[in-house]
Amino acid sequence: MIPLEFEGLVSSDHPAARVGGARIELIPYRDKTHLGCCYQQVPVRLLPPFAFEDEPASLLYLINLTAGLLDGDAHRIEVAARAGTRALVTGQSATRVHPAVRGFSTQQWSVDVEDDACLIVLPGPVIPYRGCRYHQRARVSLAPGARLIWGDIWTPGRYLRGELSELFQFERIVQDFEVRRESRLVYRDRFRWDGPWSVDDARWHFGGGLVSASLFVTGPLPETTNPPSALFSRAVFGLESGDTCVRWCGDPAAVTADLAALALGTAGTWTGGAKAPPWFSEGGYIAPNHWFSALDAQT
Amino acid sequence: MNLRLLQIADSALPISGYTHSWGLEAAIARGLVHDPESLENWTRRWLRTCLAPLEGVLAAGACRYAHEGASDEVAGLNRLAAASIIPPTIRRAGREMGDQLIALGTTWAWSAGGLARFLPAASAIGEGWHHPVAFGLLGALAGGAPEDVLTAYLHQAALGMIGAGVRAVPVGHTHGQQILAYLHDDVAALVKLHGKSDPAAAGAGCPFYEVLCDEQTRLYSRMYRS
Repeated sequence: MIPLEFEGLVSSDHPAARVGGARIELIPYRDKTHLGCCYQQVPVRLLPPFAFEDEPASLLYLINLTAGLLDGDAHRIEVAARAGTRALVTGQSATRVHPAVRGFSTQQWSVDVEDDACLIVLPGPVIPYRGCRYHQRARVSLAPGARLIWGDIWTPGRYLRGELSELFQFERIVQDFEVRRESRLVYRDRFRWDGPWSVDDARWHFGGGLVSASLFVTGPLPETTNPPSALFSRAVFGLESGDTCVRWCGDPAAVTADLAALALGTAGTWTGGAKAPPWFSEGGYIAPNHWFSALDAQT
Repeated sequence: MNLRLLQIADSALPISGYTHSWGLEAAIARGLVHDPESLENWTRRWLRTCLAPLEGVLAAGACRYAHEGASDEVAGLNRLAAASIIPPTIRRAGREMGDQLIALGTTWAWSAGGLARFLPAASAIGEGWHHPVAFGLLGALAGGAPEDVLTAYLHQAALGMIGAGVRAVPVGHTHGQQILAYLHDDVAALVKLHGKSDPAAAGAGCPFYEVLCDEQTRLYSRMYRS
């Protein structure tokens, strides 16, 4: 799928381009979520899901074996969460989008969530390098009783490199995210960012913060959420469909931690009730150097 | 001169438009807009990055579909708007104004007959009319070409934002009219950029603007509904 904004370019035109993907079916088995049918093509790989004894959900890592998305790279990922499954599907690290030479790079998702399935998808922060062209597309299909949380984090580029930092130096980013429930469009996040951005451009879009983030949640949020922070701005929007969208602008670590806490906390209430702990918050199952495991650092 | 197009773009329309500032009041509260120059910059960025790529594309698309008699496609743009405009205050404002504009259009001799061909499809989908879609449809019934209708749409939107700024900053009316004149070239450029855009590409990504729209709902004292 080539978006209108990249007409004339071919994602896999570069001789070194890698086209990979995964087709993942999540199925319930003995109160845990396991892999059903599965297909994977390098450079995308997935680890067998971690199903911890005292956790309601399984943890599934998607891994890109290369250094990120290089010019022409295209990943297609399909996830089907069958009825009764509970899972967090996430990237192992942030996605580095390298400079475009002739084409663009893309990651395209197709997610199908059945009734009584609870799925979190956190692909991981996007790090757009200088001169990159990136297309992220996702189509989500929800059954009436499906539960889904999807989170996106957009960083300015490599921002912790002192004078070598690249802030908002991308050439073009196209986001095309749609959620349908029983074929009816309920949420749409579609934008085109043309860079490089000036300081004023960045301030207009991100409010002076280094990252923005977005979370789609089926249904309302739990009544108690993390307190506000001076490190970011957060807005919670009720959608017409009864679902929720949350936006952040602010400090990268603080926004990431808050997004992850909100996502895992909300999922915890889905599976364990109002006072249940967030998914994966106990037992020390997520390594402390994981991209969102600084869960307690900010709170 | 197309008087019909002129009327739907009048500063007195959309009805209740004067009760909205589209997030400007929160920007004023933060000190981001405080004088004529900052109001001009704010309005220009809002037009370029928020309004034209989303609502503007929908207005031009609705006009184009209406000229083709594609009533289902016109109605479908309302769903696109409902799913794409995230802040509830902006979404509700747009639908209220769109519904009122369509209701008014059913009373006008030049548009009532034409609207009758498009209203059943919208009723079947069960959506209200979002203002850019309603504007594009009426603009087509007024005989306007998509580019002219988009020009009128962006101009009336800029005027609405400036009008809110004139009252809330405050800025003098003379300055307000100067700002509007300074934005004419921007409007023309945006029409060139978005006038023929496929509605499937309609969308705007300004998270901080949305944060401001949310903040506006919690201002201790406010003049505007959005």
